[in-house]
Order: sequence, then structure tokens, then C-alpha cells
Amino acid sequence: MADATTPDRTTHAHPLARAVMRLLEYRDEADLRFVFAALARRLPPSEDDSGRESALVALERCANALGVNSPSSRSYATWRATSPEGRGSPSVQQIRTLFDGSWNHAIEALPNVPSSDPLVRRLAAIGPRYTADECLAALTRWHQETGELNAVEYKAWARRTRKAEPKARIPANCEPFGRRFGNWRAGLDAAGIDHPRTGRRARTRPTRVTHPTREEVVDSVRLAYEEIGEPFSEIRYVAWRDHRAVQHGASPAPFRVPSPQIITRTFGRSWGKAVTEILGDQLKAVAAMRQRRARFSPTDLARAWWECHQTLGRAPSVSEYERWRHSEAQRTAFECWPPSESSIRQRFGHGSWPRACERLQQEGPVDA
Amino acid sequence: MPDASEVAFVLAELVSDRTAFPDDAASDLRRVLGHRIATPTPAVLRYDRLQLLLSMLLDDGVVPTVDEYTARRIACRSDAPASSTLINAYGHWLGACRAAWRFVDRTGHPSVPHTLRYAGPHEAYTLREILDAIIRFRTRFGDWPTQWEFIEWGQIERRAAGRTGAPGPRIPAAGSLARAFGTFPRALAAAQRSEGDIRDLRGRRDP
Repeated sequence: MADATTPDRTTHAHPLARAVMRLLEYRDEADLRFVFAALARRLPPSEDDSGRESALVALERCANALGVNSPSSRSYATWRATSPEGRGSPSVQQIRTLFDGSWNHAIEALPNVPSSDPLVRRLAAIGPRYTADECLAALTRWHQETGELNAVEYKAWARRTRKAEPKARIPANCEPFGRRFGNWRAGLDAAGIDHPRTGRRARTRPTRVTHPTREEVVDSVRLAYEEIGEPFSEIRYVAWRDHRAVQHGASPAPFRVPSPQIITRTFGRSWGKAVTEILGDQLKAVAAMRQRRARFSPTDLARAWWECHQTLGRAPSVSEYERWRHSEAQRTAFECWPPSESSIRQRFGHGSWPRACERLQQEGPVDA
Repeated sequence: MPDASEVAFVLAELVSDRTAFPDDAASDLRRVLGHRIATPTPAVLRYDRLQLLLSMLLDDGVVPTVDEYTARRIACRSDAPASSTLINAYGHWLGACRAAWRFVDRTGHPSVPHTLRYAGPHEAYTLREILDAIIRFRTRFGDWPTQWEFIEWGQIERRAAGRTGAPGPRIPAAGSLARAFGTFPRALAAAQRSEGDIRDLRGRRDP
């Protein structure tokens, strides 16, 4: 039944359709709807022999009468009961029965209503799946050129090569190998690449402990505080941790200093709360943290953002702003801290940095 | 549509021209565009749903009552959902307010749910239900699905049901499929065999 009535959904999209879609990729929904409406006017409604026409005609009449695109089942029932135009139209239940029991399906069958279609990704597919031969050829070539065995190295190589040779059939990541051969190592075996089976992993850095105990986290933070002192900020902690990692070098022992993410995940869900909890007995640290957490007025926030804007000559990204903030604090020997990016993000952008930047630019600079 | 940009006007003119833009291309473009418009991301759905409530929270600094929300909604002629819809989605009014406030206060759980209506445990899928769902996909879209197409279809249907408050569709997600059949290709093969059997039965009944 479906084969006879539905179009061929396995072919790739027409090149012109792809080109227009690329132009519309980052456009607003208003633009998408405008072009869609033009297409809906142009294309004839699909012919249906399953007795759905009367339902669609009634739905369209109802939509026109109510001035909406897609009437709800309740508004349709009201329209059918009260409007003289709606008398004799199929009931909500009849329409549902015609469309596999779903009101949404009935609405989506209207020509000017966009409908979801999970098969649409096939239209956007770049090419056919990688064959086993193509996978093996890519692996062999990569190994010959680089001599590496690591999947991460493969991805980097594939990115470079695909950029240099856009038409080359080289998988961009390791998924095709997993799909064809089971896993990455089996792919290497199939390509005849010799790799140590039970040897140690070729590491460029020591194993990091991903699930440290609370005691380990507390010890690391205390040690860091002893060595760094005030201000005990996240950025300075990261720098200290990087320094420790370099000192640790290629030692086979695991590197046990946790990242700030692990610290905040284990304690308090924010850096400030975690430090307060871990260093609670050290009044100086807690007081400094409280001082940094001072609340800023919207004018203070806007002024700080504009100062950063002036320094960079453009709207700052989150990391640029944080770097600027840290350097400003450094300039005053960490006595005076500008507001954090999250304060600005939450006050002006409802949690979104781009939205905050947009709003601040619209409002203009704050007078000193 | 006054909000559309000049680019959209030019493109609309192009796609309306039958000589410049063939029917095949128009049909493909309509499918892709339709899918993109009809399948908003969960983030968009969440924000659309809670936007008015969030702006009231930020403007007034206090949690609005249901009456205040309704009055503002009528005054602004907003498309925001009714308070009863939000209560239905989040269990109670303060639950909706808390969800809106999570856009600002990012501590706690990282994501803001679109609705909590389907959060509870649901009945386990039987093998027959899983096969029926795969066959239903084939009947509706005219081709057998790949694993991700099937999972995406389930997400789309669940999201559509969530928007209208309809009962959740019986389309299994990846976990249920894996528990029942191990892998998707096995489930697909079983569905194909099952559909063949049904066709045979029908053929014998109505020769």
C-alpha cells in the first residue's frame, strides 16, 4: 500500500533543493515558513484514495474560518457544532480514525502545514555508506603516512586529508570501522596493521583519576590553597594543576589532582560553594570568596562588559571576558574583581551569553 | 508574513518559478523545510512555553500567582500557554515557576524539562508492540527505518504528544529495543518476517 502511494524516499535531494536549504540553514523560522508557504502554494496536494479528502476539505474550511494554520481538535469540534458551514463535516473521531487515530497526523496532511518526516535525513546524506574496502584503504593509507595506531590520531589525519582532498572517500571518524569490523582494533587487524595486543597504551599523558574520593579532592584543594594562596580562583587553580601535570610528566603512576569540574561536582556545584565547604575552617579563604561574590548592580555589570568591549574592540566571548576579568583583578593585586560572566549572562541574557551581548549592545554604553 | 527577510522573499520567488526550480527540487525542499519547521528542538519548546512566566519573574522579582499570569497573558495577547497547561505539565504552579527560574539559576539539575507529564514509569513494551511500531513506521513513511530514524520518529511523536497533552505514543526507545531484541537489525528482521506473515494471512483470507 505504502509503496504505491508514497514517493521514493531513498534518493538524495535535488542539488537545487540542497543549495536553497544551505541558504536557509541559519535563517529565522519566519523565513523558513515564508519559503514553505510559497512551496505549498505551488505544489499540488497529494492525491489520496483512502477517503481522506472530505476530512481535509473540512479541516481547511475550519482553519480558514478560524484564521489559524492548524486548528485544534477542540476548536474544530466547536466550529463544527456552532458554524452553519461546519454542519455535515466529519466529526473529530471520524477524522482521527481516517488518520491512524491521530489528530496531529490529520493536521500534518494539510498542504500548508509543515510535517515531520524522519526519513528526511536521507535527502541530506552526502554519499553512500563506506564499504569495507574503502575503510581498509583509508586505514592502510593512514598507517603508511603516519605510522600511528591511535584512533584520535586517525581522526586528526582524516580531517586534514579530507580538507586537502574533498572528493576522497575517507571516513571522518572511527564509527564506520566499528560498524564494519566490530571495533577499532578489529579494523586494524583487518587492514593487516600490526599493533601490540596486550602492551601498554601509548600514552601522551598519565592516567587521570576520574572518580577520586572526597578525601582526595579535599587534599588537593588544600594543597593548592597552601601553594597558591589568595585569590584562590578557578583560573589560578587550573594553572596550578597544569603545572603539577607537567611536573608529573610521563610517570606511570596515575595523576590524582582533580579538575575544577570534579571539585564542583563533588562539592556544592559551584567553585565558590566548593571552596567555602572545603576550606571552611580557613576564615581568610572564605572571607575572600564572599567578598568576590559581592552583588553587582545592573549598571556595574553593563559597565564591566563595555570596558571589556572597549579593550578588545569588539563584543567579547565568554572566555575572553573571563580572561579580561582575571587580568583586571591581577592589575589591582586581586583586591577588586569585576563581575563574573555568569552574573552578566543571567542578568541580561536569561542565561545566554550571546543574548546578553546583543541586549547590552542594543542598550548602548553606560556613562562612567 | 511581514517578519520574513528580503532573502526569504527572493528565495520564495525562485521556488515559485516552475522553469527555474523543477518539481523534484520543490518537493524535496518542501519535505526538508517542513521537517525542520515541524520539529522544533526541545530547548525552543521549553523556552517558548516558559518565556512569559520567566519575564514576569524577572520583572516583578516575585513568583506571580495564577491570576496575575492569566491577566498578563490576556493583556499581552501572548501565545504563551494557559496556566492550566503549565500546571498539567509541571504538576503544580510552583513547579512551573521553578522550571522557569532554572533558566536563570543554573545550579541543580542542568536541563529544564519541557514537561514532567511523562516522567513517571511506564508500562514495559511487549515484543509485539515493538514489532507493531516498526511496521507502523513502514506503513506511514513507505520504507523500513534505520535505527536512528526509528528513534527520532519516537522522539518526534513523544514531543508532539507532549505539546498537546495527548497520551505518550507506544514507540520504544533504544533501551527497550536493546532489551527485547539485542540489536536493531534483529528487531527489524523480526518485523519484516512478521509483516510477511500478516500479508500471507490476509492473502489467504481474501484471495
